[in-house]
Amino acid sequence: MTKLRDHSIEPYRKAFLLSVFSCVAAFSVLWTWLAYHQIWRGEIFRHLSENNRIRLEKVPAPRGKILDAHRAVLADTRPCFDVAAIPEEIHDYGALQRALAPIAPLPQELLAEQIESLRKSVPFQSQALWKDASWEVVAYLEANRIRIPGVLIQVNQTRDYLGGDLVTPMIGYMGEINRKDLEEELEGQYQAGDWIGKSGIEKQWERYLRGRDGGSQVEVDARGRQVGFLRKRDPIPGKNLVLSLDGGLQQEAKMSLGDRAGAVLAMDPRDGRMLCYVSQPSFDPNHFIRGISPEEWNALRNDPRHPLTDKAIQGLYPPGSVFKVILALAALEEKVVVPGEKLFCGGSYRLGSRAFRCWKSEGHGWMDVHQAIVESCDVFFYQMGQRLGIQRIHEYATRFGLGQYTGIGLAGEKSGLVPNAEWKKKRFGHPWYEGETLSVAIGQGALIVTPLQMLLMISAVANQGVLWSPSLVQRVEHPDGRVYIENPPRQKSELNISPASMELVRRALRDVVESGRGTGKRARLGFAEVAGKTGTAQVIRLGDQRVPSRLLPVETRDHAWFVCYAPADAPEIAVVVLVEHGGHGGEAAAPVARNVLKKYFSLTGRGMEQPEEGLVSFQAKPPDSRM
Amino acid sequence: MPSLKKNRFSFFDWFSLSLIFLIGLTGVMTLYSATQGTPGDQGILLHEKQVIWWILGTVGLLVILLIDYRHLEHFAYAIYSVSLVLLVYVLLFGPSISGARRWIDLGFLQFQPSELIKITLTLAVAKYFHHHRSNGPYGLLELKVPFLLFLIPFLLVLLEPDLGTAIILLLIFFSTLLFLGLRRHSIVILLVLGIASIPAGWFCLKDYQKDRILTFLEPSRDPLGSGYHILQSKIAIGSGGFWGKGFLHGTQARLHFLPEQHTDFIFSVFAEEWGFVGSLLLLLAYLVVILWGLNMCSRAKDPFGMIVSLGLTFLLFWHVTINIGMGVGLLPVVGIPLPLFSYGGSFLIVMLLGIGLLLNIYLRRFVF
Repeated sequence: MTKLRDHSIEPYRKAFLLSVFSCVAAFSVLWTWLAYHQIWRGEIFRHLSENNRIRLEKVPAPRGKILDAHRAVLADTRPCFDVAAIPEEIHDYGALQRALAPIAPLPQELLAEQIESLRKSVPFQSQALWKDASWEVVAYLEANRIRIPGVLIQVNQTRDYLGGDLVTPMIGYMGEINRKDLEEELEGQYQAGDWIGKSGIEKQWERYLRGRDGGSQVEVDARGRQVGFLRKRDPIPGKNLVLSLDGGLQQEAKMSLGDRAGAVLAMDPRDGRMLCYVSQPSFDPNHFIRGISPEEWNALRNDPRHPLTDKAIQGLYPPGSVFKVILALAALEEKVVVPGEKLFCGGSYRLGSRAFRCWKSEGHGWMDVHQAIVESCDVFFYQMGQRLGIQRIHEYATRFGLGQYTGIGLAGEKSGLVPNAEWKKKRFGHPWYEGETLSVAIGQGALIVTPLQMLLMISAVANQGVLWSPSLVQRVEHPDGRVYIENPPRQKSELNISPASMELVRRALRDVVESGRGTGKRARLGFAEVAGKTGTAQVIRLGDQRVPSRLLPVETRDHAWFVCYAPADAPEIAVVVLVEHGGHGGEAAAPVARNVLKKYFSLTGRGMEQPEEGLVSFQAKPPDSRM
Repeated sequence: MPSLKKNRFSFFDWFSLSLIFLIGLTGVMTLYSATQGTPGDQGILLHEKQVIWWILGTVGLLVILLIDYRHLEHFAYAIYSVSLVLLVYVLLFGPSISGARRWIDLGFLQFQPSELIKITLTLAVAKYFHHHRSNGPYGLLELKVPFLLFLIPFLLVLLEPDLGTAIILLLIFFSTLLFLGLRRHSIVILLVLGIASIPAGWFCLKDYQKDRILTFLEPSRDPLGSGYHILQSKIAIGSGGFWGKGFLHGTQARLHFLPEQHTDFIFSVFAEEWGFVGSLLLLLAYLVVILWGLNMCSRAKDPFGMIVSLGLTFLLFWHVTINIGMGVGLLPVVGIPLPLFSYGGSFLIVMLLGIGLLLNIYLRRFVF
């Protein structure tokens, strides 16, 4: 360390003086500015601050529309009138309450709360008391403006779901932004009170749908009248989304499913675009816009049929016999069976001390792979499963996308489960038993899938080897129609199954529907060939007995599956139907698929009837004339 | 053997110290006015919290006074490293609030490591120059180590993102370098590098930061956001007139026209209530304290003491200048608090510790 005596400020004298000078100079600049603004122009500013006020008026940006493939509007923006108040101009809160009570659609306590909160808010900024007021209320308030000071009508915009519950839960709903979202939201793009997409497409594509609000700085006098206009910024409307869904198919699917819970999905196997996406029961998202009461919300949440769940991606079910498609391809690829090989089904198969039953108690007789698929013989596939072993089954199932996310990108998607020995050891600490392989082979046991995964699977068989990432949005457009971004299809993976195996299974799938003995006869169209597979997923084990579904209580009935594609030789559409507790796949699910296929062909100009007009428009809900 | 003179405070020193506390008192009063009616967290009002920070800060100041500052010199690099670790920690584990990671949550209080680095950087730089002096102005190559000492926290702070603190670090560091003397061509190179990095720097800024700078250059561009804030700030200050509207009578603040009125725009609240007279006196007070700091600097007996006092004085100077410059619309809004005035525990305590350090260096000028 240097001796203290060695240092002094002398070498830095110049720098030191310069520093002193700079500080004084900088402050002098500030002083001069202050003198100019406070003394010279002080009066002007005083005037501005007291007599005239500058208010910010927001001009909300319209949110982008959501359109179906034929440009029918599914979600739109409509104007609404909000009743608001400016705290600074209210002198008698009691009088305000009395004046508004008869016309407010809110219960008294809620209105009182809203009015009370006015006291604590920013005096010059208007605060909404309630939204979406009816014509009568608007007219009344405008006419009585003088008698009810401080209250004003603001034009705002709100979401209008023209499709009602036809497109939920996939389209999602909107709600007010909560604190957690606000904190994570970067750069203050959102403010408290803003609405944001909460689920589904509204949430996934929020960035594009939301425009940017505009506004203006206006000068108002003491009575709140506009006396000057300073600056403005135009709002930028949100961009529109064009979906690949066909509204006509959606409606048909929903009608066919009727009252039953389940999912109906359709995709174009050539590019992965979703054509139909129905999950039932669902809910009317317009209810959320108006403001849902806690009772309504709880009713939805506790409904045993789960209307808030998107069954297409969140519903987990055993695939049942539909899984035999994968198993057959696996068995042929791994050469544990050859095309002509016949096995005998006598109604049950013995493994160790246990008998595994076939659904047909008298048995199918001698079967080869083709017939086993057509008639969905369990015994045949038990043996396939046994020959393959659970690890190979696991690999092939994974190859078909089971146990993984599909890439559709909607929040809350479940990935299902494909069990194997490793999983069981980790989860339960027990080894895998061969009997469980047999259950998995016919699509039961610990194996669970979502309907969307089944759609990917059957599409991959339809297009002979490509697993697509399903896409709902075709493109994003500017409000004037120019394309902003295209959303091209994305391949997820390739199956790498040999053409010979694929061909055999495809022929069998066609015969499931078109031949006399197939389980899927009720999906027959007539003018085009359909290929598919039925599935009946057991909900509960009933011991060794098979009881006809209609004799069981609904909740214990099996789930009904049907997967298909058409036309069989050059597929354009793949469909998956799941009817919860529907019973047999061939009886409950296949007819729904048939209706969807029929509708698809008639919409595209084929089929037996006259082609319908392609455009489907939704009935806009007439404005409520409630108070 | 030189005799030990008694450590006596001159009148100037007592005067400056009392000015500091006077500024603080005025600050608390202004805070009270600015936050009228706004409930604080857990029922404690903001100005009450500020008083608590003052008490803690003064305790810290006294503690620092007791330590021989040469011990601080000894541990300067260690202290600097600790604050670097804290900066990294806050980036990795700090909660993300409005998109920024700046705070470490200690339950009852939140602490900003970026405030701490403002003085620990000076400590480290001072220590370096204490041991590596050369006669005559410095060339760039000789300054590799100080540059590194500066660059690391600068980048860390930028990542948070905290543009304001980063700018402060930049200003303090380069003011100090200029003071210590740079060769002419080094200055030129630095200028060129600085100008060249503006496009790159611009690219890295977040959108809202770009917004603020663009709005500063052209206020009509963002009439709803920061354009509106600046307008309101100017109105508040201007409407104070010569004598001000009086304590608790500022309309702009009471009516919540001013955003961030307890931090960035606290001066506007003050100016509205106390007018030109008040503003003049407040600025004078700050100037006196700054000159006092420079005085400390001139009487320091070793390079470490000189550079530390320099850095702390520049810290005070740049904060005051930028904050008030922001409020009057002369500079873009970058989020710099007014020292000893704005609400904020971390910065206040750091400032008071800094003042304690200044006093420390000054008091020991006669001690070996």
